[in-house]
Amino acid sequence: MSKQIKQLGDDIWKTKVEKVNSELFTLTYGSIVSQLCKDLNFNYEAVNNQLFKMGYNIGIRLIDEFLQKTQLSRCTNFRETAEIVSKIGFKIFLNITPIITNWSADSKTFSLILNDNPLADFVELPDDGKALKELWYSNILCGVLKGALEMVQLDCEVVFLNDVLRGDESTEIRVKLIQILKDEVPAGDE
Amino acid sequence: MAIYSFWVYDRHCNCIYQREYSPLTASTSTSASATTTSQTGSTPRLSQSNSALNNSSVQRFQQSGADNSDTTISNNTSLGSSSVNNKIQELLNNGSINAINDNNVSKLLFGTLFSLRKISISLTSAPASETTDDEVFSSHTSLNKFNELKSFQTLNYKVHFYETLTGLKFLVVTDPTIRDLQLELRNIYENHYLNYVVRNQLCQVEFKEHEVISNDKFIQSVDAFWSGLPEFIS
Repeated sequence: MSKQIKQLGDDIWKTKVEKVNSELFTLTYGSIVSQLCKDLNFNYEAVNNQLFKMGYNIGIRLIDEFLQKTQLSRCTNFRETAEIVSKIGFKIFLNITPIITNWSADSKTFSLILNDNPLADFVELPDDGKALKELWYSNILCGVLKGALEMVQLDCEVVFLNDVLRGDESTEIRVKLIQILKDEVPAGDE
Repeated sequence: MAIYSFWVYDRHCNCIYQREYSPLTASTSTSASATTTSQTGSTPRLSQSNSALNNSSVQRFQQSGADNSDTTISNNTSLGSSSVNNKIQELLNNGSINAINDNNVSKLLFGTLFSLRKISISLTSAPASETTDDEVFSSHTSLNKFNELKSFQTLNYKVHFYETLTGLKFLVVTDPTIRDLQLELRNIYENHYLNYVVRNQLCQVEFKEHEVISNDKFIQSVDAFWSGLPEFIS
């Protein structure tokens, strides 16, 4: 199963995805973050939130693109969702496949370890005493995941736990399934 | 005329796009089946709103078929391609766009589909007991995978249905003789909706109540798509 998913991700990456220069991508993202830092007076908490919101807005659109490219139907369990997020989602949009690990006992929480983060190439956080502790530079990814999963009725909490930019050993995103959203019912029809 | 109207509902159950091409008239039969009766009450209103269009197409029919009692099909073959184009143009111009998103017809149509979908799922699902979240996850899905609603029909019309995983619902109301149009609905989602709504960053994808898709490019491309089908006029 896992192999098939990987194969599908690779195929889509090769045949259906338009590529852009990765430096262009990295530098564009970098300039967005640095501009946000300036605009928000280096309040990194606010920058994180802003990046998350931007990511969320990307995610709720990206999911349609994802469904069109992959033609997938609904997952049968959350473990499959994790595989697909990593091996197809990250693969076709960023050409990386994060490692899925640290499953919780109830199979509702997992971690994605990003060995390679194209958003953060060339980046070194400023040495102003706060950035290293407060800024999640790639927080946009959490927003994207949150938005995209929510659109397929998976209400999740997505947060960064570690980031190599902060001096941690790995870059880790934690995804926790809160609930499966129910179909909405027409108003006055409850 | 085979394609009557096209509807898009978002995951909040609001009609975000409605396009009427030609009124659905109850000409075929008076003895409607049980399902029809619940809906036929709404048809007169549909036809009233477009009675002008109705009259003009009747006149056209009389002019070109003056000397015989042709069926509509042979009548159409006698029309030149330019007049077919004219007719298509006329239908496109006379139809309404986003005119009745919130009225009862729209709500009933959605309600009918919503209930049918529920029924089709509950008929095949295991008896509802206290299920853990994990079971919900899988029951939810196997159903959607294997037992999705495709269409329903009555003597007068057929409603084709396609639902995306993101909860968008695409419907098209056509003549009952038409082949299954689910693939076409999917095509509209994957090409037209994606290109002109999702990729259009200034067009929202989360619609609030009473907000609709009013994007000209989307409207034009969807019109072109439907009118390009051989079934559009038949």
